[in-house]
Amino acid sequence: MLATSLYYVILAIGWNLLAGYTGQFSLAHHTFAAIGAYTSALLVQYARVPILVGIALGVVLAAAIGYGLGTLCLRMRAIYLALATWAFAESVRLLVTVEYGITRGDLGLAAPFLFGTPRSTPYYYLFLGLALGAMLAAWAIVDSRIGAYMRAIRDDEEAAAVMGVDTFKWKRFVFATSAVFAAVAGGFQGHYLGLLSPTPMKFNEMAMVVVMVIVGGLRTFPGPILGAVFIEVLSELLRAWGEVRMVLFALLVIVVARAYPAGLVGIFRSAGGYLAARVPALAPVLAPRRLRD
Amino acid sequence: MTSVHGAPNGWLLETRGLTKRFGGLVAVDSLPLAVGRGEVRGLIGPNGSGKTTTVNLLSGLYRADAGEIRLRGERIDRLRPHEITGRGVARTFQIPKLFGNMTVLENVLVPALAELDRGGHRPMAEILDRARRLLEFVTLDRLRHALAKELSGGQSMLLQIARGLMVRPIHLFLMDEPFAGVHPTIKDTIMETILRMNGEEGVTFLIVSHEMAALRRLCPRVSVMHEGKLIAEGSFEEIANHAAVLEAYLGR
Repeated sequence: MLATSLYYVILAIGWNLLAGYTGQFSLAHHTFAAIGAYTSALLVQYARVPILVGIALGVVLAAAIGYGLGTLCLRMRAIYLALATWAFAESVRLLVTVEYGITRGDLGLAAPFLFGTPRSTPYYYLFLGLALGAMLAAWAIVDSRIGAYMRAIRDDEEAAAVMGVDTFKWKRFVFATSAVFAAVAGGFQGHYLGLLSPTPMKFNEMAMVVVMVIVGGLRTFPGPILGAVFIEVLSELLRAWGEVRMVLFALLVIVVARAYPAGLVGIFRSAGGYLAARVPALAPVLAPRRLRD
Repeated sequence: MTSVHGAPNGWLLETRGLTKRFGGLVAVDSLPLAVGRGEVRGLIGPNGSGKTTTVNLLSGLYRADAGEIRLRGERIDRLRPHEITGRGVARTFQIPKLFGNMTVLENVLVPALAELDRGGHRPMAEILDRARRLLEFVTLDRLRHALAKELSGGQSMLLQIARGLMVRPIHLFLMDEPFAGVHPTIKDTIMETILRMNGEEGVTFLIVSHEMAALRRLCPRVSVMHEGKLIAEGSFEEIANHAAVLEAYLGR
């Protein structure tokens, strides 16, 4: 469960870069995880490449497809982009399901264990390292000038363009980058689970990522991390509820979107602000960071 | 007209046969517009005469259906907006388009950061220095850590202007209704900024406005559009008595 939480942390961080910071509400993020996983498993099975090489090639392929999908969506606004990416996600899922001669479809494709064992401990440390890497990478991007381009594009794409930002270039870049996050997570996850199926390519999986980021705090740095762990733990605790959990999560999203648009992070921040106002000594620790000059 | 470096015929900005259609409507109709370097030119005309469409064509947000746009002699009508900005064209919008979730200071830094992406090498200290100077000039420096969406309408206009002046190099500044709905004090600040940047840095301005008093103070020459066409051009006195202008504004 811990390894899986961390897997979702990586997915959520990647999607937050695209949807949160850049405003590109893609619904194909889970597909890039599957592209990473299937590419690696297929290459390992058919071409006998080492697992790490398979994962690396899956990431490269996902980045290339992400770049292509980003290019396709360059001129699309909100709802059309969501629809186009959703259609792409469904097409890939159907392709994997139908081409069972190669992918084994719903029967499932075997992916050899990375550490030669299904025991979860080594994978937990692996995903902890990957999640930390994803956080650092996302932080480096958001904190750089690229982060400024992304936020400018999200706030007003036309204004960004006439202020000199190459909006096409950076939207493509973020599409490809978020695909890399997903494919890294998906590639390793495949060689941890040992069996791939088209089920996690269903929309439910994407919905989970959306729920995690929104409940955690869209467009905040800690949001996807908090949200992914919170929702995954909640999901496990409520396992007995089955599909009814999605209803609960949907309600949670509605409540958060209505009352706390900044999600859990927003709640923590207001609590921190409340505390800082009463205990001035804590203020430097709790005050939100803003660009200094 | 004195000769301008880079433009053989002396104009900083020149359009020929510039045309933009929206379905059956010809919003800009074979527009010949020529603005000299260092000019502060007014662009006036009744509502719907094609002024904003012209600004959108010049800044690359719209693609012309016919005709050409030259900046310092170079064709720019097939370039994308950020490429036009890279050649020294900045603009403001009638309804301010700011980066609302970024601070005031971050807003003015965006053009400079975009310049780094084009291979610019200005040191950050110099960028910050100019940003602070411009913010001080438009009276927004004390608000530099506020989010742009928290500004009033007039302050938003001032921020758009400061942000545009961060574009480097800057040859031409297009302003779409900079005085619309702003407080008289802010109007004065905007006029001062235009005159100062024109005087000190030689920035050329093309100002779309309905504020005749402001334009009279700023612009030795104005161009008049009506139904997408250029119908008159000249000093205020000249166009005030121009038959076609009176007809366009007052009707037959």
